[in-house]
Amino acid sequence: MEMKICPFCGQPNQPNAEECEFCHARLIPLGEGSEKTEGDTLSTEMPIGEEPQPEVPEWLKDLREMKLDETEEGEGQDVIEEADDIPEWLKWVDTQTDSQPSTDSKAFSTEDLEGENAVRPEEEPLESEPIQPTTKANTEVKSTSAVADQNLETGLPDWLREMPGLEWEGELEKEEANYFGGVVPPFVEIDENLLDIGLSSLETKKEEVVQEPPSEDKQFEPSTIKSEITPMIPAEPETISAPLEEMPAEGKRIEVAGPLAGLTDILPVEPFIAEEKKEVDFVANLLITEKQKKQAELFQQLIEEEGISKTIKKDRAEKSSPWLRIIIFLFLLAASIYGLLFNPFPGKPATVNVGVFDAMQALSRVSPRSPVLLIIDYEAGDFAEMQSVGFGLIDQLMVKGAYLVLISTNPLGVLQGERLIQQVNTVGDHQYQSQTDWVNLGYLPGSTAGIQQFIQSPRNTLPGSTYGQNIWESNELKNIRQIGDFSLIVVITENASQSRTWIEQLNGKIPANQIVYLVSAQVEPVIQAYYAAPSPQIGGLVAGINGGATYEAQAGRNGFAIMFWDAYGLVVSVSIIAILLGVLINTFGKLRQSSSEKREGR
Amino acid sequence: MNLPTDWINFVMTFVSAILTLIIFSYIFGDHFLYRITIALFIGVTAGFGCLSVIQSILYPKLIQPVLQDPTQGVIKIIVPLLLSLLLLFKLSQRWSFIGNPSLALMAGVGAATVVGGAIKGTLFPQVLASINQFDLQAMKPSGVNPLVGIVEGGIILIGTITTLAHFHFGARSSSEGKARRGIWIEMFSWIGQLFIAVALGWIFSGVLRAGYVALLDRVRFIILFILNLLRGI
Repeated sequence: MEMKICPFCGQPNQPNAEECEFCHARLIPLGEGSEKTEGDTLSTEMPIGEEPQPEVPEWLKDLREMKLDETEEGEGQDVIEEADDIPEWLKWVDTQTDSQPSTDSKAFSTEDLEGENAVRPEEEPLESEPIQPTTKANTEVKSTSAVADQNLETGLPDWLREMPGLEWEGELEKEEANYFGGVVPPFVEIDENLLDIGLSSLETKKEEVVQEPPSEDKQFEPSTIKSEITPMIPAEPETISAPLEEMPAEGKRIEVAGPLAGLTDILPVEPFIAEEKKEVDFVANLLITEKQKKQAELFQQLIEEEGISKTIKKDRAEKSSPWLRIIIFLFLLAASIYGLLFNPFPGKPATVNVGVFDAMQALSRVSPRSPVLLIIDYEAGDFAEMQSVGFGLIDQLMVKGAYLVLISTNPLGVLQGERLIQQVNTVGDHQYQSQTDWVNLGYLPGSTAGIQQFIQSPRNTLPGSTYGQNIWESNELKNIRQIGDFSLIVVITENASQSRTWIEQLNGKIPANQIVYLVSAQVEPVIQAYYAAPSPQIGGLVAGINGGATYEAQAGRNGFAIMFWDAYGLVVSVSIIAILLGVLINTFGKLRQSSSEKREGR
Repeated sequence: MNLPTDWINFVMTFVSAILTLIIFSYIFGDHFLYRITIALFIGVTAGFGCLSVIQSILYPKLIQPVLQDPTQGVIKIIVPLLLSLLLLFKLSQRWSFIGNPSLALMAGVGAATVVGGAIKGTLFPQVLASINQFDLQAMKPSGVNPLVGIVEGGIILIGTITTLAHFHFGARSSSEGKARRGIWIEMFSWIGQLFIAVALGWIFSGVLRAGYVALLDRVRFIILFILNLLRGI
């Protein structure tokens, strides 16, 4: 038996030994069975004419058959013809392969394409020499490449060849010719590796091809497959899903990944659109002049300044002391009690103001049982003042025997009107009876629109009294068709807005001398503008407790205004004294504070 | 004996006096009884207002016509009722737009009435009144001294112009970049502030006087209640 020499340590071993007894180096490649102990069993040594393994797919079978046919026709001549068809760069590869050691040839072995069972030895025996099969394998690859290149030239349809993106083929051929015809660039070897990668990727594609047998219309020949995978050779599997694009110097965009790798002027895909898309800033420019712009800025500045609250000085912002509040209240309370109980300054308003005089003149035109409209528009909190203001005039209306009709634009005014009539009835010692001598029409809704409607048509607006009686057919009201048919209209209010609304709506629909206003002292400044005008819009004005007391004094009656007059004067006097005292104390305090600050400053 | 013979009246007067004293006690600060009394007043006011609306509007304008004549009554109230029901959708934030037609009708009619009345009843008459202050021929029949009349009219005119000038917002840009009104406008505005201050002071004094009368009325009520109570005992 021939001893097996260890290729590492050179010591002889038993023929059936798998490892070296001396250096424990493996003598038989991994994956081989124990029965494969005879010689080198590289798959590259398999005769070409052998039947392929059952696992070989159809397209590889065809490939093998085609090679066999070519071999049968004559190797020498075919090799020459193939050499003619092989492009320059493949010829160069051929020459390089021939000159390289045989270890490189296994990368191009067809056995690698035949299945996973084909095992490549990890280590080849030192004595093994690169022999024919390797060259044949290279020849197969070369022939395959040649066919593929030929198919590239001939297999493409004319319309595809005329596409603008395929000019690179001609340029690439020129470049290849330059590469292989002149100085060999250093990355030519990398092209071989890329080719290896492409072939290995072919293994992964192989199953798909087997699963989908070629149809009659589309026969998958090896050359066709090669032509299809050729553009994919530079591509790595990881980069297919993430296309990267480069912008060449010429400005043309070349696809570097995917099935369209290498083509120029490819239509941009969505990621490219998304990358290139920039946010568009829409700028809205007003077509205004500089002057208009400045005016707008000034106006904005004015409005902003109006909204800025002025800071109040600390001494002004101080809250009033509760004790001071209590003291002032006690003074006012004492004055009120003293004035009401003891009446220290008996007297009546001596002067007659014009408003009261005109009101009395307007009242003089009222005849017995003639309808007079009383508009009651005040809140419950102002009842004390309004009864003081209105007592004199209403008392005189009762004396004259006028038929009183009450309405109110305030829901609570209904109650206030009835209470006022009852108070005047009691204090004035009258016997006015509801529904007989006076009637309450109740609440007039609708604010300004309601007022306008009532002015135009009182009957339809408030058809009945608060008791549900139809009072418009009574003897006193049967002739009332519009508001001007009332003998007198008396507005009793403490609301400036409401009083102005009645004036505006009544304007022109009734003579001014038929309108009398009984208002609170706080509304007097507003109503004076309508009364004191050269052409007044109202016929009389009684304002505040002053006006009420004056009216009662002129009428010779003692009502609420006269009753409160003394006490009112005393309370006002006390309040004036309190205000003056407060001003003096505050002034002296400030002077004292400033003088002390000056002393401290010195 | 002046005590109320009717117990109901006595109780009502007693409760009124107690509530008045509770309101007066606010001078010592806010407290529980004051808040209860205020809530009582607000509740009574709201309740009475609601009843007043039902009695004055809903019953006579919505129910009574149908009761009297169902056929004619329904025809009469159908449109107001529909518009009123649409207004109820204003309670819902989602469906409030359904009530817009009713609201638009009310707002439109109200605005038209107010604007028309303001122009005819306030704007034109007040402008004419300001002009007629200098009508010497009109002064003679009324016995007004022309000189006094002109001075009076001049004060009113100055007050009107300066007060309006105070609300003039036209301005120019100053060197500091701030808005600045013209010197004449500033001067008129300052004078206008005096007139506005006088008017507001008058209004405030009126509020104060109304308060004094209310105080006197309540003090009088309590005094009478106590006196009557003492006389009764």
